Amino acid sequence: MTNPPRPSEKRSAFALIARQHEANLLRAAKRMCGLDHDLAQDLVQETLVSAYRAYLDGRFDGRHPGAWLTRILTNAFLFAKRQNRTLPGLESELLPNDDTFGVSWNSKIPSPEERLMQGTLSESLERALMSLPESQRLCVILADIEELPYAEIAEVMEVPIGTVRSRLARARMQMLTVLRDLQKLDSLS
Amino acid sequence: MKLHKETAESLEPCKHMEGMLNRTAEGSAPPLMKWYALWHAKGCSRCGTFLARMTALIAQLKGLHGVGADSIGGERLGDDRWTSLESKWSEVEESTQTRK
Repeated sequence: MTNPPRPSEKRSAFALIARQHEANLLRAAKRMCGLDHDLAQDLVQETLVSAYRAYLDGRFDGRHPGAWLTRILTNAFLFAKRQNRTLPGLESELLPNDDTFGVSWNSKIPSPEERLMQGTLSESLERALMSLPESQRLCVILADIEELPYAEIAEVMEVPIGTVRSRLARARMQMLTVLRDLQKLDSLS
Repeated sequence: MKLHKETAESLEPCKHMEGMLNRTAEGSAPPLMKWYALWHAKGCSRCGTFLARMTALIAQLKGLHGVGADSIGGERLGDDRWTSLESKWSEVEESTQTRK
């Protein structure tokens, strides 16, 4: 029988997870809070404190750490909104709860060439994303970028799955419109 | 059923097709729904365009996972944040020990 890990070993193991997912968490946080860099850093920091508490309490099953952290981040974001700590405009129906869940996580790191190729396209996409109302933007971030299952998104946002679907449909439609308009502007300049 | 004629500018699909086209674009449509959406989109230029653009948009959004435009930048917590995290983690360890 193996002994359970000591606290310092647990901290090292958790720090490794935190370092591995730090960049993705920061990007997701910045997208959630409308590119507010300081707020995003606050959110990720709070996420990693809450997550460590859950980790020590044995509330992390060791599977899909990225998705688990994304969910804690979403809760932190929604909690901050409830405290009126952040930006205006989020619909008030958003509330967190706390559980683990499973979903695939892709931690692929792109090469500099890939980043360069994606630069222009990504910039337009990010602008279109930022044009969305917050509750719709959150749906797109969680469903399309982070690829969480709709059931998990509905649970964390405390809305029916149908609402997630309709918000996504409206959000994507608006993004298409914004992207088309950006394209028109580009062709004029 | 009335299908839309060619219109260059509008992105709106036929109203009754919007949900089916969305689910087809994201890959969650059941086989029959997908078959019907594709069949409709083949004969309706507006829905065809919508489906193509929506499919491309979703693929591009998926591609944003793990990457960020320049405006997203800042992919690491600052050193001061990590120092603060270490101290908060120590507090968490202490409170966890106390509870046990």
